[in-house]
Amino acid sequence: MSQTDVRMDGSAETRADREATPGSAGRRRERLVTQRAQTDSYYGRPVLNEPTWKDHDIAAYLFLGGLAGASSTLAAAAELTGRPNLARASKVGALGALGGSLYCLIHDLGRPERFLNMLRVFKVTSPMSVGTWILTAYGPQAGAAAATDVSGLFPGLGRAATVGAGLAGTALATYTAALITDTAVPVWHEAYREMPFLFAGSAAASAGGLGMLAAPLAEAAPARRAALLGTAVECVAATRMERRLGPVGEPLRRSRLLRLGEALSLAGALAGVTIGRRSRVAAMAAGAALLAGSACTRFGIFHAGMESADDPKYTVQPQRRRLAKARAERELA
Amino acid sequence: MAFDLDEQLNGSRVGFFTDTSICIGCKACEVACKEWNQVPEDGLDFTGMSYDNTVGLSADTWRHVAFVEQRTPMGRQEPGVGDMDFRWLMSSDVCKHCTQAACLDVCPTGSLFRTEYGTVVVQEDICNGCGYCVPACPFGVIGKRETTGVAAKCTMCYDRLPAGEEPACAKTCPTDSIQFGDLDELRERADRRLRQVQEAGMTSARLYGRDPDDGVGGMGAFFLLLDEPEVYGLPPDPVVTTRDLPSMWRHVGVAAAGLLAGIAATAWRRR
Amino acid sequence: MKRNVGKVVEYLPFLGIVAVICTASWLAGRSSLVSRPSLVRSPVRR
Ligand code: SF4
Ligand code: SF4
Repeated sequence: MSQTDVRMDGSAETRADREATPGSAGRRRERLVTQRAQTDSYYGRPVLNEPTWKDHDIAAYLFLGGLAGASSTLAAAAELTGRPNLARASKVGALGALGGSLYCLIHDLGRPERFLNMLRVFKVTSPMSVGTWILTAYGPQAGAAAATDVSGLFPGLGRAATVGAGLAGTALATYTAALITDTAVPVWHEAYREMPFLFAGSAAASAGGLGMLAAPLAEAAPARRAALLGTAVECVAATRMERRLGPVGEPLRRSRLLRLGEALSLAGALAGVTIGRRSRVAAMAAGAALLAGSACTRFGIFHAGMESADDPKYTVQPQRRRLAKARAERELA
Repeated sequence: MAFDLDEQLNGSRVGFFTDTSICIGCKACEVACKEWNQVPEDGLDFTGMSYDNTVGLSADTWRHVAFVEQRTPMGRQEPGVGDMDFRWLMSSDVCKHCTQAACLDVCPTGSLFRTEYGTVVVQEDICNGCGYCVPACPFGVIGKRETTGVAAKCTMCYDRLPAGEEPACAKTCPTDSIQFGDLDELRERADRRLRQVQEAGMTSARLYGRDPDDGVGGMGAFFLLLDEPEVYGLPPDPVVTTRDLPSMWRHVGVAAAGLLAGIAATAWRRR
Repeated sequence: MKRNVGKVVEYLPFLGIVAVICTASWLAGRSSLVSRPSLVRSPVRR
């Protein structure tokens, strides 16, 4: 079954046309060779297929998943250090964010009714599969933590669920970095070293923001500090990422959403630890700014990736540089 | 890689060798593929990109013939267009059925699977349309079909192989530019052919995807190209995205531990 | 114009979700102050 056997003459031999070479039909007349402009794309078309993910689903999920996970961790820390109002606010917020996450994830599927097909397998090679199982472990615990706290029933179970959700929450808040970096999208993939830290920072900032928005001033100290620490980590990771990526980082450096996100987060975090300690209104405003900032950062990262997938130069040029480097190294050796 | 696909399959791995030096751009492969696999229409546009109105591979295009026009001599061939040097490069692109296939690695439902022939196929009835495979493929091959909501790509005619039939595109190709067969044999044939074409003056000819040590572990569908891969819209050095995944998980682990420690620290102090 | 409206509509579920989260969380953060005493006594005075 190795060759075409349809022939006008019915013979089954390999035919000679396969051996035809350029020039076998006539030699080229001598003429000056014009210098050819180097092309590095096929009519400017992207090499990659554009991700089918929608920002209002997947970028929103990156934000909501981070908010849910870090809020659960904050809730556990608050509960264990005797801050019941912050704990309850964070647990309820986490449950809401979890619901939102699931809505976004399922809404983005081409066949939402087949959502459960993801529970057929467990694959470490697929961050989406790992994430499904993280959600499966985290979801019931986050739900139990919020339900027991609000209802006041089963405090022992509630305590266990709170701690469990707090631990699983850290995985939920950070695995999304692997989710988007494990693709061929140049900006996302190349940024895989900083992305988990950026996402962890952004998640902590948003959870801190929600805590500031919802909890009484006297209990909100961890939220204020988490927001400040998270924002700092987020900004450092983003700056490092933009520098290290070189030419591929262009869409990140150009992104207005990312700048806006940083500005909002920084303003919220700083306002939170200053006037936000005394004024409830200021704390709420700072919390809202932090939430908005974290969302802008996630949408910014998402769109920078989409932009890099859409322009062949971000795919082709780094690969060409890699090849050139390998060739140079071979020649040296 | 500890896992050697070629060895696992015990030499039964099949593939395509697409020799673009004898492609005449007739697009019979595109038509045969659509017919056999009942692939829906994918837009009827005039793009102005030479004779290419198909644009690229997608959920609804499983073979795509690229047309490149260059003012460059084709080896020692006389172009026959006055005083101008001219060559027309044509190449029929297809899913590479990678040895290390990113689409298959990232699929969370197990819908994409490796067949007994060494090819990579989507199971339409399992896929939930999560779309993860689309940005994972380093070649921009697989897509999500709007009408059904599930992923679709070349199956190397999985339904024809058990009957001993070659895929529709290879069967129809009038110049044998698309050759189907045993992958090892195709690789040998390609090496011979490369020498032949280079001796005929096409020094820029090269094999693309033949090397089992490349970033995707070698392609089940590989090519003889006459210019740089990017000229045909192919990535020059594709790497399976999951090659960096172990390191990604390590970074995620450190970040998660950091998040836990950081939040614990913020709650430590009473005030 | 119509396209833009369509685009904004796509983001409404997300914005709605965030609004619900904030409200629910805010109410939860106040509930024990208003009505029921917390099960775990807070050492921090309000
Ligand atoms: S070319 Fe793309 S779609 Fe085909 S097997 Fe490789 S990764 Fe999968
Ligand atoms: S879209 Fe379908 S085939 Fe592609 S990764 Fe998702 S479930 Fe797998």
